[in-house]
Amino acid sequence: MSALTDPQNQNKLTLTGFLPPPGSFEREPGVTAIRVEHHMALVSVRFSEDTTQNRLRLLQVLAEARVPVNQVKLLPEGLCFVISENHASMCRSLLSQEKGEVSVLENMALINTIAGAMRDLSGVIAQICEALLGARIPNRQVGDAYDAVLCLVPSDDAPRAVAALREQFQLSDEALS
Amino acid sequence: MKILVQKFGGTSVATEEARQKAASKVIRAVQAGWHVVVVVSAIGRAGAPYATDTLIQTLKDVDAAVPPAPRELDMMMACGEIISTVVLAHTLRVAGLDTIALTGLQAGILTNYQFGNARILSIDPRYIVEMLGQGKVVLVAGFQGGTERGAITTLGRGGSDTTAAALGAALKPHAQQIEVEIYTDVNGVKTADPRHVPAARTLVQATYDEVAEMAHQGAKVVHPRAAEIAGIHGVPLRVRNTFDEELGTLITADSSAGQARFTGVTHTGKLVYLRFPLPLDSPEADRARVEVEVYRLLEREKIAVHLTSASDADFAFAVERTHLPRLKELLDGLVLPVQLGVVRRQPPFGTIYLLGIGPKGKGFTAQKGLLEGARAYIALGHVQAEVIENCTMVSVIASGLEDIPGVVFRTLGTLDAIGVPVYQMADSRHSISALIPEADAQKATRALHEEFGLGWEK
Repeated sequence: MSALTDPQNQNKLTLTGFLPPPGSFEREPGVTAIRVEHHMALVSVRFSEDTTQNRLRLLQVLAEARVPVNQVKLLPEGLCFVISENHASMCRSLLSQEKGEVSVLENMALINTIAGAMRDLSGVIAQICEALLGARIPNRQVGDAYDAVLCLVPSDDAPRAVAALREQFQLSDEALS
Repeated sequence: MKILVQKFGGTSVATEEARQKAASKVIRAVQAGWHVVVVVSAIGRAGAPYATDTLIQTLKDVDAAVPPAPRELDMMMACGEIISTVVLAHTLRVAGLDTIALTGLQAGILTNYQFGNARILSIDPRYIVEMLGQGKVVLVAGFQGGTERGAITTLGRGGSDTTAAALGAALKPHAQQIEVEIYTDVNGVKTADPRHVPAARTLVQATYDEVAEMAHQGAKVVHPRAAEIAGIHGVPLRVRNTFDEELGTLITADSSAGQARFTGVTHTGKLVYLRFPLPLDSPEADRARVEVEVYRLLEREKIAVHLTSASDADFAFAVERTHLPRLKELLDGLVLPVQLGVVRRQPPFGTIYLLGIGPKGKGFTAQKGLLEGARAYIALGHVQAEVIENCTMVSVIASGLEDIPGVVFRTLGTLDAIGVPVYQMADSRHSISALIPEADAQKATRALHEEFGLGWEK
């Protein structure tokens, strides 16, 4: 099993961890690497009323239980977020006592497409979504930072997703290691 | 050899008094035993005689209808730094130092041919090292390099910071000790913009990652590209004030021995938020198809998106406000055929989505009328984008966010308590961002700064 598809490969991504290729002085703008984090779960909660306060209450419950939440997205009638699969059953149990219709989608992988100068570039997200759509991989959530685009896909589809993105951005083996 | 790279920004060389202050910093470093390389920005800001904007205007004044050739524009823009470098070199010479002034190319900075935003390919520091060995203070014009064929190039925004960090990296193998000092008109990296948050304090130390994140999220002290280069090559950066004697902020790989901590609150951007809800009965694949088509359109128009999100029933993103008129032109009445290639024996023979943006526009209304006639044969879905104008993004910057539970809750809770609506959120390894009304930016920044204890010395 390669580092790329190894479910234990929970990369801690740091700026200094993404060195430019040997011989290059600085990072080029655009997509330079792909990293996969397995064992993720997508939690979606929908409320029938008082969305803002119910969102807050729910996040407070998770914070008090020390459940880290990532990729939090506000939906008109609720919110969704990504947690580690280790916390899925605890999360289910905690949220069952709260208001809202909860769904937890386990066995997901977070695909980090690392890109320099993202905020100055257009088209990276279009190309990522296009590559995943072309490979018929459901992209359950998308998020972005200044140096990455994150997509949540079923873990079983992660190797195909990486292959599709690799082809889309013409990446080398080093970009995936 | 101990090498110190000192970079002076435009305000640090704008007046005779400022140049004397800058010169005193150089003299003190030389007296302390450093071999000094000085990187200089153009004198003053927009309106000053040799400021970059003034030089560009000189070309535009020839004929505003004819844009200057990128190569010649770079040549012109580089003059501002060359002039200020020579002026500061002479100031130091008058003060008794042995100096030499170099252009970027003379300093060995080789770039690609991307005029206006060139990337540094390599730096040959041998001439600088030779001059330092002769006891000279070497002054290098910031913001510029050159191609292998000798054309002058400029490095884009924050170019002088980039030059300083890059020279630090290139000189590191030739030095027993290396440090880069970025001199500006504030005394270091602040926990927030002091114009908005009077309680903002100067960070004694910060990491490259923290500073890069802060810079990307709106802080304006060090350009993120400089922080990235310094981080990649392990060069310590120190941000200091030309006009005081404070030690400023030291930026290295690790400032807190791996401890999680909050670093600052920033806000940036004049943004517009757009949400595209699909009809409830739309298949999920249709959402993905419509999303891709919209993103493709934005790509063609070179419009970058932030704060992206998607669920099974919608997708959303923010763009710079200046793009809204063009987006309305593009998306109002846009017809997106989906599944029309699938052979079916009975209607509907495919699905068409009709996009609108904001209040129903002329394009949407006209197309809707035309498409209604085809309803017997195709499924028709309306996607009426919701538009929230006048937004900005406020961000809490931290190290080790994964080790601090509850940051999202505290961020949302703090904003809710002061009555600031949050339209969307985003998080990265070092920040939690919230999209809020622009009018609430100052109130939100102050409240978050207090909530995360950033005014206290820890």
